[in-house]
Amino acid sequence: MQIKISNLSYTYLAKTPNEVEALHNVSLDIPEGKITSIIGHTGSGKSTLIQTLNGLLLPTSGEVRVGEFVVTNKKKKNKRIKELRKSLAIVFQFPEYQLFEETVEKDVAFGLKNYGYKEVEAIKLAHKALEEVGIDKSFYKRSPFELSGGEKRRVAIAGIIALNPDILVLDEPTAGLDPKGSKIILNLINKFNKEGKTIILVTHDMNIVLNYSDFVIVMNDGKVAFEGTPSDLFSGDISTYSIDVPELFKFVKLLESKGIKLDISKIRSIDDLISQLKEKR
Amino acid sequence: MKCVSIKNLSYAYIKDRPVIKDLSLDINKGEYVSLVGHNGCGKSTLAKLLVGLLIPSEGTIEICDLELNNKNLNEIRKKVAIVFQNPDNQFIGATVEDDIAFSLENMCVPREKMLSLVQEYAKKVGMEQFLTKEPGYLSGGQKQRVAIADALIRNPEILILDEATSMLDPAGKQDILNLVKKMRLENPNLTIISITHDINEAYDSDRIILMHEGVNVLSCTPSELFEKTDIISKYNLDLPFIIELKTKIKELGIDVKDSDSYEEIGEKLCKLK
Repeated sequence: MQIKISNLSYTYLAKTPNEVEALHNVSLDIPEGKITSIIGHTGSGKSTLIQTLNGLLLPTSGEVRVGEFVVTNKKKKNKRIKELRKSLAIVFQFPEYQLFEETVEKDVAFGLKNYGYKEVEAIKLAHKALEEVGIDKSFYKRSPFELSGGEKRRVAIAGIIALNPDILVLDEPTAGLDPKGSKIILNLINKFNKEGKTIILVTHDMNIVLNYSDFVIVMNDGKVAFEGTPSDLFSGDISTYSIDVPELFKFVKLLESKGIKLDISKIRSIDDLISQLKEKR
Repeated sequence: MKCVSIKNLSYAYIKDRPVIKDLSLDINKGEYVSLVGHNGCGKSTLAKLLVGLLIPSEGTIEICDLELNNKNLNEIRKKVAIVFQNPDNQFIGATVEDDIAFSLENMCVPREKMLSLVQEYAKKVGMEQFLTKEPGYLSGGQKQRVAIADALIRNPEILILDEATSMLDPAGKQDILNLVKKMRLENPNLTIISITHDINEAYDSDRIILMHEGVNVLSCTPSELFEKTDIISKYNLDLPFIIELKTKIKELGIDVKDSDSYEEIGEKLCKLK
């Protein structure tokens, strides 16, 4: 399912003294089957944007099309929103804070039951989802609160994956995890993508943008400031977006300024750089 | 001079399953220490023990020569401030202004002084434009900046940052790290204990303490730690980019051991051509 956003604006607390325009006339296409990262500094409109994708926030003006679904500010048009939320699911920041059930399997099955699955089938699908995120069977009957941070997050993600959405949106999926836990989550995201899911990541981590995404969207002040590939972004001038240049690109740019010619579009990691340097010798 | 002295400390949430095991540790006044280690190794538990939110199962903690016990708790809490990871869990006031003033109210600071202090610290964290805003209208990064102002305004001897920057964007994070640096320059006696997964952040500290399953397995300077490749891989630590770069460049047969900046490494690579 392709996502097409046209002239989308969103204002919080419209018509009150505290109104804030979080999105201003945003038009975007997010491609199917790819990993797209949305970046931008705090308050740039990233989180507002993803919440409009499945109608958690209804646009003040403009519309979002997800496959055949439409989200607008006209309530009548939004009848199929529950269906949409099953196709486009959002994993919020720190999803483990939303765990609440007595056991891991019940927690994962909760969403399924809301979508009308019978207990037995919901548990069966929950087990499948838990297996997908690599949670061992011995955990199924345990309280989710006994697990480590990284495990809790995987259980929370399982709750979403169990619904088998076509599009998975993750807001800061690795925040607060240690390097090992982060890697597990990122590998998982990659796996979902390979299985055909469209992935949208909201992140502050430029290394995730560089190493994992096909496309990147930069939000700035409620508007789209950049759309393109990560290497295009980091090799250009990004000083106005207040985002970090990955250390790798700081170094690559320095080498270029010293007259060392490199094919930047092919550099995603230190190893890529080293192999290009090797060829020079 | 010792500022924190921990002796044979143990703590268990569930009986017979200690999270901190017989840990002994000293931290000096004015030292900037990073606590690193994977999730569940006891870092945050240690932070909670240091501010008396948890009571040790065994062992003692001394803060500025005062033993942490019921009698001294109030005195010690004046000396130690903590900033947690999630700013939503520590917002008390109805507005930014109220929130920053909260601890001053508890300390019976006169109103005039309070007003100017609130202004001063809001400015320090770049939130002076938001004084009358409600927390609900702030972004995560902005909330965290307020939380840091809350902590610093009490002029503590020890500032504990429990992954305080992990939810901020790069600019916000850099702001906070610069702020911490500024605070240290202004007050060289401020002891900072930073719990972090960000190895680049830990790189700036005086000392790194590596924790694993409730014990401190290693305590050394950042550069000493990054030379211990066996420890790095055993405990799944990341390396700062520049260290990783130097290791990989060595494979090209270029000696960059003494080059400490991209500029110097770049120069060496140029000679290669």
